[in-house]
Amino acid sequence: MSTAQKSVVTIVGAGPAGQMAALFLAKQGVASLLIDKGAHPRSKPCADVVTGQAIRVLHELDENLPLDKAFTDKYLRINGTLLHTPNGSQLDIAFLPLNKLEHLPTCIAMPRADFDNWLHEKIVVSPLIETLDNTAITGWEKNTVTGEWTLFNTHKQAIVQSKLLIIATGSSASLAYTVGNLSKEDKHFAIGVRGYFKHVGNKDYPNHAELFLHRKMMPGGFYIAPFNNGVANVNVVMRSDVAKRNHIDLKQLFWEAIELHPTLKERFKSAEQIGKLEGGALHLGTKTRPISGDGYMLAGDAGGLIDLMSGNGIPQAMISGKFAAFQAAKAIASNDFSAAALKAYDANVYNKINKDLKLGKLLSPFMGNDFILNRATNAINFIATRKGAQAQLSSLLYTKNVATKLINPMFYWKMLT
Amino acid sequence: MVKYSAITIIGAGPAGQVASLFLAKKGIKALLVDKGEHPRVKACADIVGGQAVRILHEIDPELVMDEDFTKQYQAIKGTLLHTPNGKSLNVPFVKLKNIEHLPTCIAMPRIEFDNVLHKKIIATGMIDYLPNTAISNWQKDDSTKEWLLLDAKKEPIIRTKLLIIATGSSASLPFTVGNLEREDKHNALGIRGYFTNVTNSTLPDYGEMFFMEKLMPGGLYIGPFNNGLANVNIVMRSDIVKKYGHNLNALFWDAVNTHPILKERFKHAEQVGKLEGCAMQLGTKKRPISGEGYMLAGDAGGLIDLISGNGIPQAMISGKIAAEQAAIALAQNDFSATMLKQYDNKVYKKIDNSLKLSRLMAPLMGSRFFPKLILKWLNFITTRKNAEQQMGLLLNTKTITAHLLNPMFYWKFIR
Repeated sequence: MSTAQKSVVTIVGAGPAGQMAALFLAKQGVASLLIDKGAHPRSKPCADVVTGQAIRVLHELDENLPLDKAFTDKYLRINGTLLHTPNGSQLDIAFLPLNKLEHLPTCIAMPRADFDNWLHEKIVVSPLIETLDNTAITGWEKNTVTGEWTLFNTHKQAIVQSKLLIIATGSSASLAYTVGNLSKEDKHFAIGVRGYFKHVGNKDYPNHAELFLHRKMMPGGFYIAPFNNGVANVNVVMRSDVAKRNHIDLKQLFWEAIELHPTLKERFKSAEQIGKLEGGALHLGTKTRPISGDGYMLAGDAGGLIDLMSGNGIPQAMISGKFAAFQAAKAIASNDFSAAALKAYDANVYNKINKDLKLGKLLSPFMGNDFILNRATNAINFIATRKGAQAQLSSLLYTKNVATKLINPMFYWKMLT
Repeated sequence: MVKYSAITIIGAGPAGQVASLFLAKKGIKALLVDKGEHPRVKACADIVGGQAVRILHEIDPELVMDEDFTKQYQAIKGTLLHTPNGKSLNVPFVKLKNIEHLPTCIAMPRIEFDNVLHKKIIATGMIDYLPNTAISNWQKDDSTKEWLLLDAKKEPIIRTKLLIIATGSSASLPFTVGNLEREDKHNALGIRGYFTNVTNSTLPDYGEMFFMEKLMPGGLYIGPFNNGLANVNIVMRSDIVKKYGHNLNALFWDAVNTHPILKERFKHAEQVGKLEGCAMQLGTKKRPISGEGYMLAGDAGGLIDLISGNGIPQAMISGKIAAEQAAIALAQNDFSATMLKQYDNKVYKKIDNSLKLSRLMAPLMGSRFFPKLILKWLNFITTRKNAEQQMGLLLNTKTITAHLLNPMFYWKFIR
């Protein structure tokens, strides 16, 4: 079909990964087509927490971007995580300021509908980014001679011909599986539900996110992230294999947790729900997967980069979007879109985010084991009683050498003293 | 209806074509306007030098290997310099670094060469090509800084933010928008004819330069094609043409009919078509080639090399750099003179090596004495065994001035 337009680079999916890819390409003077199945503003089930590495990427794109009023007006600064142990004690794990970017928040909470839409506003004014909304890509062909992709919409019409695809569809679209190598493996996969609630905030810690741990929700937890308008995102995430094995209905567990956990029950006394619970599936970065191939790169959730420990996906999405843009510009300059030419993307992304994913990967094999989870529950209850615990846990979350720390006896000693 | 395009390129010769192709490579759609339509003739020496081949390779490595292209050119391996004393110097080209498999230089009629690029432009499907449209005039909106381009009937047809002017030096735009000026000492005139049966070249894949007093500073050049045809041309600086009241046509025939070697070579030659002339703006002067909302590329920027007569490599290099600068300007939505000034720096940095010798020699070339001295010197060095090697150094080196200022360079020549 000759009606298909041509675009050297096509980005499928206009979430943070795809948006960053488009913006970083534009910054380098490369034009792209950004296709989305919906149109902004649109909601996305997510924990709505944007952490420091993501802020850093925004700053790298444009140092004034994180200071944009349209952004700062809509977020709540998050200064740390309050960890509620199964037996009802709490640990305050404060975030450290971003190195060299101390003027910016280490973490913010902002509904994804607003965050994505704010980035969308930057995209529509860029002369180098063409957007195509309300267009789901359900099929594709790859010319074996020229290597060029043709993408088809739901009516099987050819939409665009492209040399390079950046697939940033999230993990529920088919492209990540049919073009890339993403596969659904329950042990590297999590499910989550989230709801929006009023009147659940913590008056003592108005700028803290809170993680409620309970044996029944392990491995995972119950998470509250407050916004700046009195509303909070409340969500539960659990690994699919564990949920399946224990026949857990996550929505049911969500309500059950509020009843079960000593602190939660109190907090939800006068809670008012806005909208209903929404579910999402998350591909965990507990496995290093190939995230590029002949003529394509997978970015964000489509590449399965979510951190098991924090449930974070946005920083990885934005980091991978950025690297995808750099790699795309290189491929264009050298006229080489082959798997070999794009392979450096994998290394760049994993090199950057492995620090975050390492702890998740390290602990992942144990997380499905009931015995370990029982011990872990007890351990968490125990360390909450020790005064070194907060500092040591904080250091664990910030270190670049998680593994080194975990095998160092001094780490545990300091925690107990 | 007035068409809008953020970037508009005027002139679809090698400079404009390369600019549009490098933009397309980055996914940026530009409007490419030409007063004519490909395939079309252009009076030129038809020689595509090494840096131009490199740019073609950068556009698409397959393009340079494509039969459509390779079947139409003659690889040129060097230059044979014929000195007035009847002797000659053989100066081979060095291979292009990292692309040794490609010819350093090719000869191919411009009508074919431009058409190869044209086909590539159509094949990309990403360049809006508007043929048969001469731009006669322009307006610039003071507040939006947008250009409005008018066609031959003075009708507004295009609205644009950034102009890449690649019209060659005979259109009005480089003079009215840009700062190109006609100065005889930085301008040259050339005529070329096509001939068959120019016989007996000792080196059939060499270009040949015949030096003679009457044609100084300059000479008669023969560029052989692969179909028995050759481009024969002479180029002379305008101020010298004027000063001596030369008639280039008469000079051309006089050289062909009276030079002892040429006379023999042209005995059975048959002319194809007639002589055609053109004017060239020489890069013997460093001119500003950009300003608010515009860049001048190729001959429109006056980038022709006085020594080699080459314009195509400079045209393609400036087209490529204009595209890169346009992409940056577009990304930052900044089309100011300051933003585009980087274009000047990048272009001159890239092509200065080849233009340096021209600029160095230019002031001397107008004198009565200096060209004669050069001929004497050329006559002399043909008798020395190191001359070819040293001339090769001079023409292929990146540090021409360093060589020329180094006494050892001359010593090695005559040793």
